[in-house]
Amino acid sequence: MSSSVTRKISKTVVTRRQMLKVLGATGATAALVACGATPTPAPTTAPAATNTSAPAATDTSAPAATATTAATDTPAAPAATDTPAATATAAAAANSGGKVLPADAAPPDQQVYLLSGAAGPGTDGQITGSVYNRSGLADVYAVPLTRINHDFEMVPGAASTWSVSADGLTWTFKLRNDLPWSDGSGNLNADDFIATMQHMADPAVAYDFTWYWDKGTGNIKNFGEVVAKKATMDQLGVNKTDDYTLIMETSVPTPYMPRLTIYYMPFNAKALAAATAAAPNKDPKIGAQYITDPAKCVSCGQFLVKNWSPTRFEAVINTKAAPDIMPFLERVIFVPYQNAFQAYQAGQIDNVGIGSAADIETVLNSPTLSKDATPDVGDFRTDYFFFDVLQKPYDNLKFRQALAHLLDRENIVKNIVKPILGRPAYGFLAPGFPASNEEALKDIQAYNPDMAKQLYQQSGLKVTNLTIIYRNDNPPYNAICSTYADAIKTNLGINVDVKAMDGKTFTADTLATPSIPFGCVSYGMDYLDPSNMLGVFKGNKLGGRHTWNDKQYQDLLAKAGPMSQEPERTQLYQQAEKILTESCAFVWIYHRTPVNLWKPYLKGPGFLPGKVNTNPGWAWPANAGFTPYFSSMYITSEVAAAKRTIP
Amino acid sequence: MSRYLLQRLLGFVFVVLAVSFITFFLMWKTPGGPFDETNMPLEPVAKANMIAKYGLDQPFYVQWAKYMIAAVHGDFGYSYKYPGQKVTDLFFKYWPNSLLLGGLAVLWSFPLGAVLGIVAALHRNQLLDQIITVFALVTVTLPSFALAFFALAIFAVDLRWFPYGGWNPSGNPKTLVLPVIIFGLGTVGSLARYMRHGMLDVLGQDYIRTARAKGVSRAKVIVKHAMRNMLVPIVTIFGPVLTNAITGSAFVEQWFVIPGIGHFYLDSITNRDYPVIMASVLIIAVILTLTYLLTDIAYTILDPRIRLT
Amino acid sequence: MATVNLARTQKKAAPTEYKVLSPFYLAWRRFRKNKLAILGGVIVFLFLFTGVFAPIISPYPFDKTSIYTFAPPGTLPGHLLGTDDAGRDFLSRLIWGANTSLIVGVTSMTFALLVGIVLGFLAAWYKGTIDFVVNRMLEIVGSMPGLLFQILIMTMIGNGTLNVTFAIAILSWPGMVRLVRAQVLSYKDREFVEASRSLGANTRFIALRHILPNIINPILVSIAFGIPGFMVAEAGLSFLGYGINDPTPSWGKMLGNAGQYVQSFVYLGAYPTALLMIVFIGFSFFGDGVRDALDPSSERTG
Repeated sequence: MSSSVTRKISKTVVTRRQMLKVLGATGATAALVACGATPTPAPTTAPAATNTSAPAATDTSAPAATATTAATDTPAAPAATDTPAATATAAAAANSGGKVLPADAAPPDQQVYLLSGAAGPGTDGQITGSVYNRSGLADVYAVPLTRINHDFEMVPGAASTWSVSADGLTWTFKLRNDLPWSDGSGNLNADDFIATMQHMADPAVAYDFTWYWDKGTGNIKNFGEVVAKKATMDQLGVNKTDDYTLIMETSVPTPYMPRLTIYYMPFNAKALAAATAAAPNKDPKIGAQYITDPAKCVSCGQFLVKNWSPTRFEAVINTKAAPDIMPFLERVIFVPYQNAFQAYQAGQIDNVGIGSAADIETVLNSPTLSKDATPDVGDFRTDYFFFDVLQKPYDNLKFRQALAHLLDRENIVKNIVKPILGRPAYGFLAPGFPASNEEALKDIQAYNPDMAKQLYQQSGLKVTNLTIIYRNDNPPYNAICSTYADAIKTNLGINVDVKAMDGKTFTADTLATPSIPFGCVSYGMDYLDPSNMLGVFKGNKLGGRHTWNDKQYQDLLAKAGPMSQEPERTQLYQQAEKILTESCAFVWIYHRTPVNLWKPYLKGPGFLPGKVNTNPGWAWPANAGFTPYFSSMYITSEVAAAKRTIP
Repeated sequence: MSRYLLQRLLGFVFVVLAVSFITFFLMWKTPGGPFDETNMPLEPVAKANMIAKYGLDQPFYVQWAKYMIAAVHGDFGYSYKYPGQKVTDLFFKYWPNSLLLGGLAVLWSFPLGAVLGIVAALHRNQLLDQIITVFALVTVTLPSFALAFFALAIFAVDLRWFPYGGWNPSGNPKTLVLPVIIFGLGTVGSLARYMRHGMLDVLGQDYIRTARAKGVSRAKVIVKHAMRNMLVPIVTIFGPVLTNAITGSAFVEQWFVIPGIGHFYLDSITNRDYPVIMASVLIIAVILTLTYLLTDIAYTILDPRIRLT
Repeated sequence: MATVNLARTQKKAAPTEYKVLSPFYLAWRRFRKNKLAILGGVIVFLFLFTGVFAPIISPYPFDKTSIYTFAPPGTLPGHLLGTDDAGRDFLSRLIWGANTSLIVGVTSMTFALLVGIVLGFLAAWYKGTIDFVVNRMLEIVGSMPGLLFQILIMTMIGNGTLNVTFAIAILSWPGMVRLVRAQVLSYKDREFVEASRSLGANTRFIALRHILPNIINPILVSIAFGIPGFMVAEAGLSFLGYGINDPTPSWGKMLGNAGQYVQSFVYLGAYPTALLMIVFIGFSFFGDGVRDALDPSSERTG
């Protein structure tokens, strides 16, 4: 889910390089840097508890007041940073949106942000086709209902304030009334949001992300019923009391609703209806593509679509955008490159994420590249092995435990993944994620070949062959699975085959019955709440990923989900994660900590160190379109020295 | 001739139907579908909606028949991955890139390969021949993906003579240089080998020896007698070279991220974009079959001894 | 010069020589004179030897991992060519890669050969319906874009040595069928076949005793060129991620996997590429030599 973007502050350059050296050497430090905003390196759970569960809790327990506070005081930060810059010199040039560039900015024709990526099926395709199928930067053509900042705190988007009713079932979002659509058809209002939600629920559209809004996650009233054609569109729990007051009703309390709504990206209701009417057979699934055609693009966000071709995806400034979201950037250009790291070195893109151990080697050995590098926590992705507990021999707990104790995470992270790119995982929730509890889980699946041999003996099994199947979307899997296979062969005398599988087949086979017996895959967050990450394991009977259906675990999740009292809620999730780990139906491998390279000429408040990502750099999710920072980043005059080529 | 053409036309229809059926069957048996469950499983109702939307709830032979009937009318359906885009529109958006890449590559590699092969044959077993032979073999065997990687690392990243990828024929012709060279290299090698062999064959024929015995000069023999008879082997190899050029190189397109047919097709398999897979296979099958037909007709023109039967 | 000529004439004059020289001996004599062919032969032999005896000559098991990952050649005692991304001995994996290539190449070739000889012979011998059907099959397979179909098949059946061999073999036979069919057609009505038939020989006898020995030469040549072709096809598929399962090594897969490491650890990609090239070139030299040796007519020119 994560993508891209850049960093700044020349003072930090030296320290960052030193830090990288240290990180390269020890995995433990990497863990600390990535998780702790707090100067005290002690408990990893502390920062997590403060920065994440707190806002979630306040959203509900004291509705209007706290929510409003959260909403109003956070945006002050970015605003404060861009104002002085903007007012620094009167002589500074203004861009085509009339926004005065900061004093150290490059001229407007250089205000182009270059990235590697393919044009997806459509900007709206992100919502109507498939969320995972969307283009980079799909979120800058409209203003989402809420936004998230680089400290993972909720800040206003289209909604300036929000509150929840005393029973926790009705959310009221007060919308801004000053966000004009670029076609002059009026301002963004509640009708646009309602039309969008109806579009997503429309069975004819056949949207694939329905679980996000349906029971168990978004809990929007009647959403699942509309999808299943058991309720009509007007029964959908999204309404308005006036044009700028959006009401969302949920079937059970959903305290993390504002966190979900960062993906609530509105369409222009009129343009959507017009495009649908013009489509062959008035087919809504075709009409929805109104925004991919540059001629028909309607935006209330920072940018408009200009070019949408297989080789190039270009967005230009929306000169009609509201003044406070008007960007400094004139254009954002995506061009697909096979190896983005090489394209970065060739000076053709401004940011690249590093995922391979070899590339990180190149970065650390290069004085220029290492200056550009910043580690971050990414989307809190954890890689894991899973077993189909319904199949022999994996139905045997002792056998699973034996296998779990054979995974040498420390070695894998040190020698294959490289410490700067990951941390050994002892639980599923990475340090820094709400309710993360690594320390307490440390022994459950610790590497211990002797214990593994004993457990294998106790299991009473004689296994001769196993196959590990991995989803071929993460380069180190090959080496990781091979190392694990060798450990199993050496210690238990079982022959292990390792098989790569393409994403679609892997997914289909994982979800089939019987499932892939022994697989390797990952998951990264969709929204910052344990209900999201731990929901993956709720069992396939409840819409989860795997065949492990544990009653106790399911009950704990069901109980914790709607709760708002802390620390009880966190404790329930930690209890659940312990059960999950003890089941050994899943063996945790490592938490990914991606490193991003940012060209030194990128600047903006998004690049400042935050509470979660303590390193300077525009880490995900801050660099995504649903954050506030796209309006405030710019290219500095340093770009002239970089000899950048704009494709 | 007309009876022959009719016969070939019937054969052509049969082949296309068979290829499409096999493709459809393979697609249908492949796990996964045009929906994305990478992160979270789809809700059963949502999945049912999608299956209904794509018409995947019908038996596969019905789906196939429906698709083929529509295809005959020029309707190849809508892409699943790019909703709202007609497959034909997409295809004509991608195909010109393959044509351009392949066409330019053939333009330089075909003559060069042919000349190298003939030169090698005329200097058989001499140093020049051996140099050309080794060069040809190296270019044939060096995988284009490895070549692409090193070429980009050297000429785009280090020297910055050419842009790194970023295929842009109209805006920046420099982006075409590396892929066209790399795509063409393999053709040079295989053509040189083929031409060398063909030339040696011709030179070994009795009429050449007769001509030489009559006292015709070596140069004249080569130009007047040998070259003319080389046309048949040239036509034979030109067919595959041309189809290769038209259908694109998946490897080169992949590495330079050229939105061509090879790339398009690989993507459509990854995405289980059924209409696109079908359309690609159908169109490529038609091109291949037509090339065979044209080659056969060209034979009769070049060599009167060959008859169409 | 004169003496040499004289010596030759004298030798030829000796009648006993004619009895000793079998066609294969003559071919071998011609082959022996071709230095490139000998070089190719040596390469092919080394490749076959390595492939067959990989279990014996490989210093380590191909799947033995260690904590010493990414050791470049010569930097880690006991590992001549260093280690790969999982700390496995790189030399051992290259040796085992030959084994994999050999299995894929030879199995596909065997399949192509069997189908090619049977279908090609039947089509040419009986003509009529069988020929018609075989020709249509040839057209169908010929109209399938090779690599694309192999990928489609691999996506359907999944990775694995057997599967990749299947995907390659299933599209590999048309060339052989065409060759055999054309050859059989050209011999079918020759006098010696007629003679044999009139003496009451049955089809099987004629096929095995008269036709096969005559068409064996072009088949041998196409085997020499076919095997490396199949190996490269496997390498290409493995490179794209549709190939052999881990931890079994294959040169193509090693190369594909090295793509991500190539900037820092060039050797991971360079060695498999070089081996693939050398073996391919070896087979080509060898094949050229075999063709020239078996076909004396080509020697007349030059």
